[in-house]
Amino acid sequence: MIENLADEMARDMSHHMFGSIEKTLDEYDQTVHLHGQPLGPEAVLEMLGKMRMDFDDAGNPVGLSVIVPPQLSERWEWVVQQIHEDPVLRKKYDELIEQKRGEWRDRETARKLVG
Amino acid sequence: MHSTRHTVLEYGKDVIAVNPDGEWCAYQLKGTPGGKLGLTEFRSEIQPQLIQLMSQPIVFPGYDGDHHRSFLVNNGEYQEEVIRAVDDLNRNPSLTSKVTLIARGDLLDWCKRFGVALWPSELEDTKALLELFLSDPKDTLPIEKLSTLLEQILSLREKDTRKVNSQEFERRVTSAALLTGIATSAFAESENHLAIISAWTLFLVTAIASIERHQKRSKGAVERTMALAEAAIGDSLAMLWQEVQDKPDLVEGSPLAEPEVRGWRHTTLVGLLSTLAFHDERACYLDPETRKRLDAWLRLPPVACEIWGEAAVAPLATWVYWLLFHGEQTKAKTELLAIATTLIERNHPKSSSALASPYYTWQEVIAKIIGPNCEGWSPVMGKEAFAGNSYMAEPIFHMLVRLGMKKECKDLWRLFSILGHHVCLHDEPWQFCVLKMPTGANQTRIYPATYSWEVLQEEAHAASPTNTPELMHSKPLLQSLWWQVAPYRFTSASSTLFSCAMESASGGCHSSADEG
Repeated sequence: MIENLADEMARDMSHHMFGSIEKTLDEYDQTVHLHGQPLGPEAVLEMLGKMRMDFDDAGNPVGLSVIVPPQLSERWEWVVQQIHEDPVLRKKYDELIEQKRGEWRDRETARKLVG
Repeated sequence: MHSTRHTVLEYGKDVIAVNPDGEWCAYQLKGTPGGKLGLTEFRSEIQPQLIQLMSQPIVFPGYDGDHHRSFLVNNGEYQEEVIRAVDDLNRNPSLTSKVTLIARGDLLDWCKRFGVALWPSELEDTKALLELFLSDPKDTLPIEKLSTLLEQILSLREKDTRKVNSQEFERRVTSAALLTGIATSAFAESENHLAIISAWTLFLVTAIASIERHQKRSKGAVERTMALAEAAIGDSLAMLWQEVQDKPDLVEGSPLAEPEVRGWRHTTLVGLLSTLAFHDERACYLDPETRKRLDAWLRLPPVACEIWGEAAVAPLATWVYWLLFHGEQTKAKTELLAIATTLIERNHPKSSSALASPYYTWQEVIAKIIGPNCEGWSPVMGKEAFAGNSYMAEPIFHMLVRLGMKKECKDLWRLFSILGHHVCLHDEPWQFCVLKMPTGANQTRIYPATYSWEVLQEEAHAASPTNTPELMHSKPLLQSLWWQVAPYRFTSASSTLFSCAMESASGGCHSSADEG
């Protein structure tokens, strides 16, 4: 019974937290809505395009975390595989990361107190 | 009229009062809790003081030197021989003032008679009181327990919505003071000055919170009670300084624990003694020689100060403010820069030794460091990660900005701006003065990569007096003590207000011109 209560509490907290995040992200046009369509590689690339990315000293993206519901985990793995194996998608992904790397470089170069 | 301070202001009597008939009364206080004062102890320790009490006139401004009544107060009982010896003294014609004995029974009888008016009837959590009373008097004060009790009595809980009239409010404040004194009596007997300073500081700020919340004024009994609490803090600070002079190596307790404790102890002392020095300038607690020694000590304090967590920044900031207001601009700037650099570098996003947030005490931090290695887990902190975040970096950075240290700020900006800067914003001004605010928001600020020095200057100088209770603005030294009891209250806003208040008091401005 205690375990059920704990699960219920955790679920409520999680719903509340994601609800708050979604509300804020919607306000700033930072969400991708699929309108009932299944999750696909193009949607993931669109999501990555909306995000600010940081990179480590070797130029690799850092700090990216993905949270998917259990029922979507298989689909997610398939999408990632598609992006890495399909030459067209892979090219799009590489170009996107390069663009983000450039934005990060510009941002860090401009990181200064002026005046 | 007067209660003894262990300082230069000694009048030869523990308490001097004037009774309702206008007679001056001098009290000598003795402690034999639960026991009986015997003749040997009386003859060796008390009789000489008693003769002094009876024969020497009160030396106090306003006393005409004509006649006074003398009292010996003991929280135990007197053996018959002592009663007889005092009777003999009273028969001595050369002793002009006669002494009256007050014993434990008299005190208990008065407590019983004035019980409702004296003892806080609102007290629900007697278990917390007992736990506090019975806690190790050599340890740090269990501040949360005292806070819970004070908030109950001073009507500061969320459910305390009933209006409190002025008479009841006065009684609640005096009762809360009595409870603070009783609950911490074991700490006082153990000469645990830090615990006593913490307790009376908490009492004062909680009383201010209640004044603000219930829209009362600090007058009459409330004002007098708060003045007594301030005096108790002053006494304890002065006694702490005396102890530091008596033990210049600053070692206390088990030497085996010394390597771990030393950094915390030195940092804590530097903060408290800086507050004493500020306090002494207004209240003249110290004699000129002692004051001079304290001044020299603060200009060259022990080198073992340590930033053991973000909470350690609050006492060090108080010390830097003391240096700034005492002609040590260069040293203050150097120390401030060192604090800022340590803080920002230690909490860098990739840091593996990030400083714990100011919500964690030294005991909690040290428990994690020396406790069993549980892959970064500790019972109190869990697996909370601090890297990439800071509560104290912004207020310290704002101090650098106010001092016009533009080049240093530019050098630090890269690291400073990648941190998430946190502050807890309370909904109501009175909530600034409680240990745990019931409502509010934790704000995280990420600065833009490129930022303007001019905008930063404006922000660093902007004080928001509406965010804290009005009474707190007139008590900057209490503010600095509050930072040391509740370090997370050292925010950019409160630091700026403190700086403004001290500048107003000193009649000068300590922020430098733009060094551009």
